[in-house]
Amino acid sequence: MSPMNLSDFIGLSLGFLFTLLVFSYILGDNPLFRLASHIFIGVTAGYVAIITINNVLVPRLFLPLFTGTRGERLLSLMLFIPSLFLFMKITPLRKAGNWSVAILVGIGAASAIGGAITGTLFPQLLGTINSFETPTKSSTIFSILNGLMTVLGTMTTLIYFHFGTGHMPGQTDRQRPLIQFLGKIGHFFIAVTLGVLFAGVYISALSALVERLSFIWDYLNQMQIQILP
Amino acid sequence: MNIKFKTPFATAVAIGVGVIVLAGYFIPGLISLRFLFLRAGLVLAAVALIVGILNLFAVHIRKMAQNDDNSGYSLILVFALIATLLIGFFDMFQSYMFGQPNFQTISWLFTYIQLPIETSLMAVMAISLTYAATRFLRRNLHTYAVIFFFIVLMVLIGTLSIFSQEVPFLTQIRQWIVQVPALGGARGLLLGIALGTIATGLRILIGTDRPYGG
Repeated sequence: MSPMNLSDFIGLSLGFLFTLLVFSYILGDNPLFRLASHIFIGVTAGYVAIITINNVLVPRLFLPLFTGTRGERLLSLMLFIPSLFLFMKITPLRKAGNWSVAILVGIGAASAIGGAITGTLFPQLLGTINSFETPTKSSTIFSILNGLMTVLGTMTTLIYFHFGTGHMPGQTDRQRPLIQFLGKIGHFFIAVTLGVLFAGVYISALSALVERLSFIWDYLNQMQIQILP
Repeated sequence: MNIKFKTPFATAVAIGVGVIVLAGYFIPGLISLRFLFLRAGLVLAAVALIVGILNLFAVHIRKMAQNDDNSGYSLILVFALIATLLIGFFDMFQSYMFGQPNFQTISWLFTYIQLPIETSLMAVMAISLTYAATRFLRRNLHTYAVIFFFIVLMVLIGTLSIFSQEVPFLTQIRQWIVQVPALGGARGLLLGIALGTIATGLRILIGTDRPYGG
């Protein structure tokens, strides 16, 4: 058993206690689990606040006021105004903070559009086009079929989310049969994709479970408490 | 035609800022302006986060005053929040006074309180997912549910080292599922999400959606 100082001992004991409190949820929602979750929310909120203040607000808003160039000082001063108005959102004068939120929303929306176009739309379209890029000697019929299947999966998954209907005089509006058929193939690909994602999350959760059980075992061993004869 | 011009100032600000940032992606001359706005946005997002935490604090102070069954939990949350903030500010004060980053106490809180609870919640999710999967299989046993669980089983068996060492074919099946049909489906989903993001962003930039209280 490796020697540990008092700080480590208290920390490990707290970790052991909180692990047991969270595991009590297996028996259903109970006061012990709620206690752990409320402590978790409080500590996390405080930790996030400290990290935000130390890593963003101090170096980008406060320090430039004293140590920055003239331009940086001006920018920091200009940022103070919408920042102060943001605090109005938790006062009865919350409407006064709307324009500060509007700046955030405007920047966020534009960044989301730019990110979606340059980060997802073009790379994924290129990836789909490159699925057929296998005209080498080593490429087999299987690699071409795989490329075709990937493209089919991409297209039919998109078609699955097409809810437009064709209008027929005298009949109720309904999806065209071809779209319905392709949508069903897309449904198959979505089931496969979600299955793979579910398995990935499940494996991660299992790893966490194994790590926690191993921690409990190690802690009990270090405390020289034997749970098995 | 009935057009309501509610809070035109906030709408004008959102559209103006958004258009400049979006133009910065495509017009090289506006790149520096885009980065300036992004930097301002980062600071404002940080301030908004602090406002959110203050709001959490205020909500739980109000809950404590109600004196019902759950007010005790609010007291614990407020205590944990204040204690963490005090420890963090103490660490920050020490760091700035002595010029060396020293966040030992707040790191201790992270290692011994936050991390065990986060990992335990993730571990409990394994049990919750198993329970949810069995309930789902009992109630909705249709074609796509069977496909879904067949794929889950194949990926799990192909990933677990015990089976895959005995039967290497299982690993190849898993790789094929992940690299071909799942990739196709994931690409379709990602493209759909990107198109949805663009549509929602454009609705904000033309002022149709005003989530800032317009």
